[in-house]
Amino acid sequence: MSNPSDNDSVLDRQRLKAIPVWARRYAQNRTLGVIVQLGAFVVAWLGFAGLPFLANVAFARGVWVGGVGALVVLLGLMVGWLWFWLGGWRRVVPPVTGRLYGREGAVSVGLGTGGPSVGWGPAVVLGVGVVGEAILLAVGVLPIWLMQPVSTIYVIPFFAWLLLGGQRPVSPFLLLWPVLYAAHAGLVIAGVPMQFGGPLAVLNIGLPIVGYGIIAALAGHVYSRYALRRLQAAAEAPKEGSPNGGGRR
Amino acid sequence: MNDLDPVVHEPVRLRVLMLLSGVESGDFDFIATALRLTDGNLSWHAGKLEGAGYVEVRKSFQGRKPHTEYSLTEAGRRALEGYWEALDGIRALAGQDGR
Repeated sequence: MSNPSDNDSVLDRQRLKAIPVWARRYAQNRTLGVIVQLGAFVVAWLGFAGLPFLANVAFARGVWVGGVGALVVLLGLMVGWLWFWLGGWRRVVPPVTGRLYGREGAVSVGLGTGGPSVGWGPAVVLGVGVVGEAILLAVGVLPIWLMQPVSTIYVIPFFAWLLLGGQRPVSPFLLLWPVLYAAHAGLVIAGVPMQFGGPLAVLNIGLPIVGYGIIAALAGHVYSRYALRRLQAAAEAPKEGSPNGGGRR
Repeated sequence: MNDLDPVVHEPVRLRVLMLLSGVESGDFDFIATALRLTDGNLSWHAGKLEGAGYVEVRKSFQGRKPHTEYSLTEAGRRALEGYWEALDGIRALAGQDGR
């Protein structure tokens, strides 16, 4: 029979039991992919906002080639955006994330307690919300300073769907995203002057979405660094007792 | 009394199994980084675990680079649980003998 006392000296049971816990935490918090997705969001957002403006200026100045060119690029962007959201992101985001974490290899977290998918309802609510709020702003019913607080009605459910509606567990740090967005709305309602006006009014929603998303993703990423260290400490390899030794990389 | 499974009892292999028990799957670089193992050391022990049917190995190519992914099999999960139970049993006996 094997002698367990060998293991008592070599293997610290508590540390070993911590290995799967830290492995899961590490894998779950590799969140740089969220920043890649946000990058795609910003590119699309700048394109959707900027290209019609450029086309308008070009047509106004009689530069028809420039105007038509901007509209063609806008059409391409719309097709690309649709492709991205309908599943194309799976071809883009994981390879980019894989490169970002290339040295640490690839790891997949198992099915979690994400619960059943809630369907496309919140995405539809988001679309209807964006259009509805734009109309309310255009007709002057909704003051610009209330843009961001009102947007929480459709943005927060969308975040919840994005983060909790999937079948795989996400980094708990990403939940900071809707929390910070809601807190931002609270500050705006409380009268803190943090709004953009005029042509930059669209930043009132876009900047908190992107900014808090980056903050949440970076917080998750920083935690993944910590989790990796804890994982490596828990899995501290023995220096003897192995046929090939406990060599370090 | 239960014997300790010699495949699982080896410290590096026990760590690999514990690591894979926390995730769905992980590739060679992930395991080597997490456990700070040399490529040769990991290859040796992964081969032993695969031979015992405790890990499933999926080999593919990412571009021109070979990619090896590992996941714990059901047999590996049972072996790991059995190992801890056996260790508990041995410790309990050792405690009785010591009284």
